[in-house]
Amino acid sequence: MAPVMHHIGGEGPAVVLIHGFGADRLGWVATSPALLDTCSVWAAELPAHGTAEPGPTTPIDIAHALTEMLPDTDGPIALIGHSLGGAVAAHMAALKPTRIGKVALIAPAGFGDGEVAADFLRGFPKLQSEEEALTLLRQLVVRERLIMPQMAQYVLKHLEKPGRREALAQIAEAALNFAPPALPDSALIIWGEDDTINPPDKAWLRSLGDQAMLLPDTGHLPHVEAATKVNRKLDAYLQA
Amino acid sequence: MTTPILVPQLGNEITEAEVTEWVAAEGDAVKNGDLIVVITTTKMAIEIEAPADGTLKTIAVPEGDIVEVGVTLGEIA
Repeated sequence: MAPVMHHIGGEGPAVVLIHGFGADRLGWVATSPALLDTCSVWAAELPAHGTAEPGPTTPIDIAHALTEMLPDTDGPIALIGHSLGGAVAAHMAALKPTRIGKVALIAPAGFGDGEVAADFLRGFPKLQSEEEALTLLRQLVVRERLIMPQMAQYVLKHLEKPGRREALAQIAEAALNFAPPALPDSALIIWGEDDTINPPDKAWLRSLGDQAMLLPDTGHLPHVEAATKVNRKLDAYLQA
Repeated sequence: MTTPILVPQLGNEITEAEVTEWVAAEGDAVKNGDLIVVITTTKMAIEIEAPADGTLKTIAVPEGDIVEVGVTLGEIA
């Protein structure tokens, strides 16, 4: 069965974290502790990622599957989605408008300037060596020290699980060719100015005023590279 | 007065990390929010910022060592 929903901890209104292509729930290690004091934090794992078996491959199909697994809570559920997980979150908000409340999108797929790094998406499922993995993964960040050999080894180990390379290749193709969802009302959008994986449409983001946060010296992982600023912004948005 | 630099909470699944790089050296002047040390979990690296203005007085854990959540990495005075 895919995807998978993990309860990370905390008490309060529910927030679901939805990671991007090639990541898993542990990619939120710098984010989730900041939310645990005020929220009940859940982390989804997309099909063929983390502990989830292969399953649906398109953002809309993944969104359908995840909406069936939302935490059983009274109040509205907030979503925080990164990259591919951002597109999934936006779809979920449209599918379940009465259950989904606030939506924060970090470098969401489908909302950039259109120049998505196809070589990254297609290269990831084919990675074989640690050196190759480090070179590819360091495209994610401005400061290369954030991608250490541990991450390269972790990714390679995951790719060796049965069916993961094939499923990820299908998800990559779907991520390169999908109809973007509508932007959820009052969504918060966070993006790194120097994102080369899913480059931002800076003029559009600036036109959104306080609804958007464009971070200097930051690549495709603002929640890692600018964790303090992003956590502060997420907290203010969720508590408002 | 000294302020400890602590290994932060890393969620409910990760209990330890490796000190991968001290960006500041003992004796360096640091400001609250400056990047001071990088730690790496089983997967992600995390940048830890100085928790106060002052001088990095002590580096208690050298690069390469594994530390648990809550451990004091160093002190700012």
